[in-house]
Amino acid sequence: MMLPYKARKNLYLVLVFALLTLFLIYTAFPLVTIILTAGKTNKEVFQGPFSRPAAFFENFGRNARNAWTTGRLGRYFANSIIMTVPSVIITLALSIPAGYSLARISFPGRDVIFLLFLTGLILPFQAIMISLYFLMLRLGLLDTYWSVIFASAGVPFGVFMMRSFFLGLPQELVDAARVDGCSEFQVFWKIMLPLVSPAALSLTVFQFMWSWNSFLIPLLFITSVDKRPVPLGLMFFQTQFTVQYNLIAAAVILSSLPVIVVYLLFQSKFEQGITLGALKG
Amino acid sequence: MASVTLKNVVKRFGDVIAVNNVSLEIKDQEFVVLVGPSGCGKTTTLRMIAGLEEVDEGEIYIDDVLVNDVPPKDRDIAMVFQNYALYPHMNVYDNMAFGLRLRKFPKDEIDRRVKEAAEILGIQELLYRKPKQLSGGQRQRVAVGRAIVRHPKVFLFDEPLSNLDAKLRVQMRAELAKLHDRLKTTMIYVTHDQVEAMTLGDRIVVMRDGVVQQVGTPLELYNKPINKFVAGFIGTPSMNFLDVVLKKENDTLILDGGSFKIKVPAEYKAPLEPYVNKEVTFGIRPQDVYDLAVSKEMLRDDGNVIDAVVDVIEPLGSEQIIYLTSGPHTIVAVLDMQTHTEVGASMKIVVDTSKMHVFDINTERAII
Repeated sequence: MMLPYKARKNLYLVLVFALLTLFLIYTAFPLVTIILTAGKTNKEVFQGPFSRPAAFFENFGRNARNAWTTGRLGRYFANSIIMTVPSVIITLALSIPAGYSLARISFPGRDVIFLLFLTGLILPFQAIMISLYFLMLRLGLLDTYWSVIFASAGVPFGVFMMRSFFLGLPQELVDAARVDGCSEFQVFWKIMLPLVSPAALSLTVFQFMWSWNSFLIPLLFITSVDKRPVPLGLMFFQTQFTVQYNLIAAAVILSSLPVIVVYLLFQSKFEQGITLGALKG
Repeated sequence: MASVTLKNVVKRFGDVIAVNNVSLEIKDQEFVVLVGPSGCGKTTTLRMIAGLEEVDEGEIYIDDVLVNDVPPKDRDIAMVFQNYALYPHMNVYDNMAFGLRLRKFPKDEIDRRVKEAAEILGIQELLYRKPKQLSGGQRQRVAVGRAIVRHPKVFLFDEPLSNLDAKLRVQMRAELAKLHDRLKTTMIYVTHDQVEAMTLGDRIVVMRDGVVQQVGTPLELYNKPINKFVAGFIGTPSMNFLDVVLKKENDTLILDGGSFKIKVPAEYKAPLEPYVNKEVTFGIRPQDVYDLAVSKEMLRDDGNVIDAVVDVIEPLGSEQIIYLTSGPHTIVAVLDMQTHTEVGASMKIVVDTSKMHVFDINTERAII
């Protein structure tokens, strides 16, 4: 027998909420355990992952301070910033003009060039890491910040993303600007660039997140302890303080803060960027 | 202010010829409307005048200067687009001032021109709003304002009213006409709306499949269409076209539609003589069809009456549009509200043969 419409609708909602709750638990589980662990003493850690810490904030402050000083987290942070910021700048500086050219300027071989960029997007890093290693070796860049900066700059994704946004802008705006007296460069600089700023900010957030969290690239190129970025530092930190899970958890939370801050800074524009692309197709 | 001349202009997109050998002379201060159905090449022609499309063949002159290779910014033209094309990141003032700033006008001159244009268009209160805070009508005014501050030689309008609702469209149409009177600048206007074309244009250019069909004043096009396409395109509702056989009875020419016979007035006899016993298309505008019962005395003549059955009645308040059937023919009539009829009723209609049109059935060119 078929259920009445209202009952079916309610059943559907129950199923949706059940599924969403499951996903929420799945996502929140590691986060909650890490946050709890970061606020525990070493003794409390072994009372179980969900045991309640007696003095959360006090313990967290102490753990974070310890991780920062004894675990050399300060050095790793500085390294991460030195590698991430130029990588974001390079990505934006190359992706925006390239995306514009591929979307808005007709020239021979345009589609082939775009396909080449797409190939860069499709190939996994593991497929090119050996040849990239030898390339860096030949360029004399191994164990330098530049090796990580160049390898983690997400130009193919950036070009792909910026091209889609430029394609979504109405041609009439370009025409209006040209009739108003803009040169081709002025059309890009004064009209199109301001209009894709939400997309550029989204790309900034994405690229910052990827570069900051990048693990395999620095693992491949960086050998000096002094040049390790945060994710690499955390791994060695784990082997160094193998029983001090509370220090590791505090370090993990500290290392996530910059990404969260960057996201919150650009949040409104970032969401606008994502939806703008979706709506304009 | 300037004249615009097109000489044998051709534009191709791949294998498709969008504009085919178009030649036009647009005089200084003239308001010319390019009209035609979608894909007829009117917008492409306008874009070539603007410099936004390259000309494949032929020449375009603005004020006797060949502009084929002149970029849009150096043609001294301004254009208003269908979707307004306002810069979303700039407020109204900056949108209007943008072109002047690019041309390095002094600040006070820019300010004077923007405020003057805002006053003409009644948008003084909107100057510091962003485009997204404006209604469609207000945006269109800003788009027009952006064009007029430049004091260009030629204004180009690309279907500027088609995104507005019907009431606003009528209002803006009147304002554009007033603007032309005030600015006295050459204006080229593209639309697919023949009412806009008729009401705005000093002259109208009717286009179809990239080819100019006819150029003339609105009344010339209405009264003397050169072919069936122009006759059908200009006028609302569209002209009635009835395929009939031209016969000669006692030295009088008769249009025989099977279910009716219409006497051809003597003055049209000569041009129609070669078509005797051949099929032709008889054209009559819905406004030239009357109800015999209430028609004027002069139209009561046995040679121009058609027996028909009422199919659909569309009352419009001041008048009514009535769709009738006579044999295989469908006839549309615009009648005044004195006629009282109902669907399915028989009706005698009378046509004003002094305003009749006859077209060659093969070439579709007007014979009379």
